[in-house]
Amino acid sequence: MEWFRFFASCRIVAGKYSSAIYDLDRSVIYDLPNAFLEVIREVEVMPLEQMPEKYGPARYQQIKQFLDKFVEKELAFYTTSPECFPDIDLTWEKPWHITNAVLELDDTASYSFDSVIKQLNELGCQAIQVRLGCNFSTSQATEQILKALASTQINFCELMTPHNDITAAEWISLMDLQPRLRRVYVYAAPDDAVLYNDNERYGRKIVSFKKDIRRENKEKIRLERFSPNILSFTEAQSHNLGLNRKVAIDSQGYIRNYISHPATFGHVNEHLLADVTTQPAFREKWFLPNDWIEGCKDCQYRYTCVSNSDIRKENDKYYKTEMCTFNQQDNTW
Amino acid sequence: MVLIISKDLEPSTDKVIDWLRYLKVPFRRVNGTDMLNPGHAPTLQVSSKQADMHFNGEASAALSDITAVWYRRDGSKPPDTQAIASLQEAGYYQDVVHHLSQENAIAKKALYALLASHTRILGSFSKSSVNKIEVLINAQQQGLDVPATLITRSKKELQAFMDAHPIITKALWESPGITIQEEKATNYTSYTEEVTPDMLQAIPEEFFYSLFQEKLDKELDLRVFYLDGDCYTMAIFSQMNQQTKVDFRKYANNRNVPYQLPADIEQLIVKLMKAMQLNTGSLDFVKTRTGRYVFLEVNPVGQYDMTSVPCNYQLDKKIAQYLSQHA
Repeated sequence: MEWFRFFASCRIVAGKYSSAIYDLDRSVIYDLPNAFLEVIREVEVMPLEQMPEKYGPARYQQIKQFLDKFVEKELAFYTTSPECFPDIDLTWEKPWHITNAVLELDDTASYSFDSVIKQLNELGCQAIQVRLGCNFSTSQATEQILKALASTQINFCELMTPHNDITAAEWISLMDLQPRLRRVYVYAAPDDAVLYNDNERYGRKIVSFKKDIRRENKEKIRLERFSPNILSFTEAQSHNLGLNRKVAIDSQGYIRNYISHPATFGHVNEHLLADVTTQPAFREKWFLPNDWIEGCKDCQYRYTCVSNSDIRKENDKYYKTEMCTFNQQDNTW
Repeated sequence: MVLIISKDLEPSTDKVIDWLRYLKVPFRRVNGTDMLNPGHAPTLQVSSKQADMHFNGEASAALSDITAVWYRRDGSKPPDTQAIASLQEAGYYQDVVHHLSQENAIAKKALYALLASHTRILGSFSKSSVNKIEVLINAQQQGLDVPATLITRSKKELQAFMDAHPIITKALWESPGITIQEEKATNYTSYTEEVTPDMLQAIPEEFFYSLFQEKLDKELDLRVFYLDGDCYTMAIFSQMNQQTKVDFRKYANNRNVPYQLPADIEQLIVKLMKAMQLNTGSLDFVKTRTGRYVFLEVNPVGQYDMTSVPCNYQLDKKIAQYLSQHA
C-alpha cells in the first residue's frame, strides 16, 4: 500500500486565514490556502488505494494531481513504509547561555566594551551586532572593537556605522584582518546599495541604506526577511525567536532585552551580564513564543518571524507592542 | 576530566566542547599536533609499581584526573626536523627522519594503550580508519546484507562480474584524493562511479587491484550514527537528483529526514559494532527498491553533523553526556 507523506523538513504551518509550507532544508516558504488543509490532513492518514472509494473517482483524480504537484516540487513523496519516516523531534537546545548580543557604541565611553566582550564570551555568545552611533576611523574600529574579539568564541560580528568616508575596500581589509567581521551596514547613506557580497568568504557583505537607525530603531518585518530552517523552527516552537538568549546594551551602558525596549536591567559597569541575564525577569520574554501572542498566534509566519518587538501583558493575554504590517485576512503586507 | 584527542579545525569537537562547558564538565583538548610540541607533550612513566602519564603545559593533566577520553581524530604531522637540519645533505637523512617519526608513533601508541587501560574511551585509537573489505566480511558474517563485491586485477573476471549486474567502482582505501599541480592545483576527490561498458572496453586485460560492487537499485541512502548501542538514522533521498544517484556526497540539497530502521537491522548493527569493538561510528546503508537493507561501510571517525542537524538528533549533546557520565 502506498502512502503520501510530506518530508519531515517540509512543515505545514496552519494560520487562521491562510497557511504556509516551510521548507526547512531549502529555506523557502510556500503559500497554502486553508481550503486545502482538510484534505491534506485526511490523505496523510489514508493509503492512496482507499482514496477512490472515499472521494469518488473524479475527486480522487483531482486530489491525486494535487498530491503529485507536491511530489514534483520535492516537498513530499510516496512510500510503502510510512512507519520508517518518523517526525523530527522539535525540542530546541543550545549549549550557550546567550547566543547573540546587540551593542550600541558611541565615543562617549559609557561602558567597557572589552569587559562586555569577555563576559559574552564566557556566556557562550556566538554573534554580536555592534551599532556605532558616531564615526569610528578604521584604526579606532580595529583597536576598540575588532581586537577585543580575538581569542573569543564569538564567530560572527556585524558592524553598523553611520555613512562616512571609509571605503568598501577599507572595510574589506578590516574583514581580512579579523575574519569574524562578516557584515558591515552603512546607515544614513545616500543610497540603498549592496557594496560587496562574497558568499564564498564567510558570507561577507557590505550594504548601505538610507535609513538612520539612530532616529528609527524599530525593525521592519518583511516576508523577504524570513528564512526558515530547522534551528529557528525548533527554537520558535517554545521560544520568542527575536528575543531568546539575546542581550542588548545601549549606548549609555544599560542592559536591555533589545535596544528598542524601554525596560532596563541595570548598568553593565555595575552588574555582571551573567547575573542579569539569568534573572527570571530578564528571561521572561525569551519564553513567549508567537503561539502565545495575540494576533501572532493566528499567523502562518509565526515560526519564522524574527520580530524583536517588546511584549506587554493585558488581562492575561500577551500582545506585541509593535505589530507588523501583515494583514492576515487579506494575505497582504 | 574529559580528555579529547582531536585535530585543528574540527568543528564537531568545538560543538561537543560547547556542551561540556555548558554542562560544567571539565575537559582538556589535545590536538594530534600538540603531542609533538615539547611544551604540551605527554610524559609516560612505567615502573614495577605502576604505569603513569601526565600532560605538560599550562593545562596539565595527570592520568588519575582523566575519567573519559573522546578519540575524535588525530591530525598528525611529520616530526620537527629543525634539530637535524644540518644533516639534510647526508645520504642517511631520510632514514633519520623516518626513525624520528617512528619514535613519535610508538610513543603515541603507548600513550593510547595506557589511556585505554585506565579510562573509558569513546572512539577507537587503533581503528580511526578501517579496512573496508575486512568490515564487509565481518558484516556478512554477522548476518547483514552486503553488496556483491569483487576485488581483482583481471578484466576477464570483471567482465563476468559485470555480466551478472551493473557495477560501480570506488577506492579500496579512504583516499583523501589526489592533488594535481598544473597551472593551478586541482584536487581530485575519490567518489563512487558507475562502470559503463565503454569504460570496460578501455580497460587493459590486467590492471591494478580495484574494487567493484554490484550497483544497487537504490531507493534511499541511509546514514546511521552509532553511539553506544543506539542508532540515529537519516534517510537521504538521493534518487531525486541525477547527480547524486550514484554518490550522494556530490550534491548538498538532497532531502535528509529521520529514518527508523527495522529492529532486526538495528540489532545486527549493534552486533557488528561490538564485533569490531567500536562504540561509535557512522555507517552507510542503501535501501533498495526491493526492500533490501544493504550495508556499505563504517567510518569510525565520520562526520555526523550532516545527520545531527537536519534530524535534530542533538548528537553533540549526546556525546557530551556520554563523556560526562563517565567524568
